[in-house]
Amino acid sequence: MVDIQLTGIFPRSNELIRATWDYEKGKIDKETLENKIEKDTKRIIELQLQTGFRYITDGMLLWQDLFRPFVENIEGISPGPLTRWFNNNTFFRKPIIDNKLSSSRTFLHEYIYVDLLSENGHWKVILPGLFTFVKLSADTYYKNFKNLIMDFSRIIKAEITNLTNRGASFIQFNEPAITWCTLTKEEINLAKEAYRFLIDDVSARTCIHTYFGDATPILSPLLDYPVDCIGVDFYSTTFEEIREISFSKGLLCGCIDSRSSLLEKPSNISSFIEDVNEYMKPQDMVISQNCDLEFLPRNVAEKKVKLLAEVLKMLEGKL
Amino acid sequence: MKKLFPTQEIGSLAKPSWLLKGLRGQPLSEEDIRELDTWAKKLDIQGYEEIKQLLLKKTISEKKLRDFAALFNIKFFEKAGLDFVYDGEARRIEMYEYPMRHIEGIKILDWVRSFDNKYYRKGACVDKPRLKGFYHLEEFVFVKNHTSRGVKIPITGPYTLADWSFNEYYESRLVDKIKDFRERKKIAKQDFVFELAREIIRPNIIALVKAGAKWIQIDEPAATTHPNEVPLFVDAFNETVKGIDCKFSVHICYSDYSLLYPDLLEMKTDHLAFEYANKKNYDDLKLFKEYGDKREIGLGVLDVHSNEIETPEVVRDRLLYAYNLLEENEIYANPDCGFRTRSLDVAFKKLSNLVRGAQLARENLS
Repeated sequence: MVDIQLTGIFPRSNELIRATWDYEKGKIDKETLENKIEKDTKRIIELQLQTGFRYITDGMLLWQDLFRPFVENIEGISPGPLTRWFNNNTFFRKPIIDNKLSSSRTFLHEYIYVDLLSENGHWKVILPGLFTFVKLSADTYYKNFKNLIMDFSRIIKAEITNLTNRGASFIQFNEPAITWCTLTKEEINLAKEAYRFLIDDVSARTCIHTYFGDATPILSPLLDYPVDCIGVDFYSTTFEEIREISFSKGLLCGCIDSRSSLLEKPSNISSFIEDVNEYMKPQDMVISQNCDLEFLPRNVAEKKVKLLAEVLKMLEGKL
Repeated sequence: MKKLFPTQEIGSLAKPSWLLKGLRGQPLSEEDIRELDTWAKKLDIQGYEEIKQLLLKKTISEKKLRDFAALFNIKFFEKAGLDFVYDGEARRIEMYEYPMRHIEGIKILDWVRSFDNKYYRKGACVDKPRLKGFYHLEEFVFVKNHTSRGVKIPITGPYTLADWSFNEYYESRLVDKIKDFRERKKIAKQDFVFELAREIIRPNIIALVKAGAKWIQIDEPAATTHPNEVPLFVDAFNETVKGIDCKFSVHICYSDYSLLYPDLLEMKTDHLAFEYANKKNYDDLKLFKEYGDKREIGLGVLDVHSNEIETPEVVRDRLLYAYNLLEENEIYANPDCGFRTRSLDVAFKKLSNLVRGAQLARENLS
């Protein structure tokens, strides 16, 4: 089975960007802005459906960064200083943890256009990976990896249950930090246990996506994690170095570069995927970008999505 | 004997509303006029009445207005008492888009998010970069002719320009030569950075030096974005300044400076202007000691992201801490970065206290 999917936040249209500025200047009201966000979301959903996506996302236009819904809703966390998002000229609000994490209600559905997604079939949710959240937060309360990751897992578990009850059928955890930080064996095992607790009884397909860094050192341990699929950013990881790894899971193949405006040649990408399939023999494959398309202007991002359809067509009958 | 704790600015000042509206041909509000009047009188700028009348009539030429804005900023820094001044980057849109618009082969694309609802227009290199014309020469000559203080020219460096851009031209050239995506991007980036160093930044610097420039600050805020590319950043810097007789400094802000060492020791720069006040962490200075780096230090003693005005005593204490820790380095006093995000009022108060604080530090040691 080969799918094509988005892996993160989609760029806003120029019209929506201008609307956010108009809203900030008081030129338009909140309802007008919300209508424009919904209109833009519909366009993103339509683009994915036209391109042949099986699992769609809403583009995450309500997410100011990967952590923001959590920073805004979980007690014990507050938004911290703007901090560089890995090796990008992009910044996020660092979560400041100064008390025990708790949440009296589920909230993520307020950041996702559940109704728009549900009426169009299978849909996918992208969440911060447990490891990435813990490593990128400034924690002055727990000072203990295990306790923090487990408390965060409990909150995420409630959100996942809520979202799968509402129809989500693919859950992806974005784990860029897992390729950036030096992990102790204990941390690797603790994170594995946290994921096991998190998705133990989840019926949706699950994926951990690694990006921005070289996944080579972490791939083997990750293949023991209780998820269906592992994602690799092939613009940060050298294929030659991992192709001999026996890939016992599905592979999210990040082979469209979200950090370059150069459009890939579909023939080069399809040829690469054939190589990946031949060597790594994943159980199934998701062809995707290496990371969020929001690093590109909207018009370029749309072209990169459409390109996936051409790649898929070239691969017909070959995998 | 050399003056202890010379004072310098780092780059930009906020663009006042009368300047932005004047450039767009929009009418000035009463508040705009009041701000212009207040500052022009405070800074004692000759000929400002004529400018004001032209602004009010909306008949001012862009050149005249830009010249006036540059003069305004020079006087602003002088009045604050700085030893080294420039024009507050009055002629530049900002530090990235301004140089990119002066390079052939660069296409400015649509917006890309920086954070929240803040976006910037990112350039894509679509052809071999070629300089359209020296883009700092006119501003430098103007500054030189309008101040008797020391002049330091801030210019954006090749590594940052490349890192903040898309690299279509060099990546596409390698598509059929290098199959591995990661390796291809790495080589393409090197090619792009060095081309900008040799063909864009270096010629600009040579032109400035020929025109009399004595000190050039190369701004490289992206220097530590990719820790594994620090050697590339250093090599490109050295290629840029190779054999040019001028004082060079590098300014890097909001970074983990430990990532720069030991490669930074190989950089052919005389002066390192770093940010410390924002982090309120002067322990980072120990890096200089640890690596035996005895070059001049531009010590960030003013937080440019806060309206809180540092007192002269705070400035003094920060300078003396650095002085006592690093006896062999010459310490300059400066803000962490440019002041474009602060009001003129806040920037002026902070800079004035910087000058007073440096004086207090000197007195403490005399």
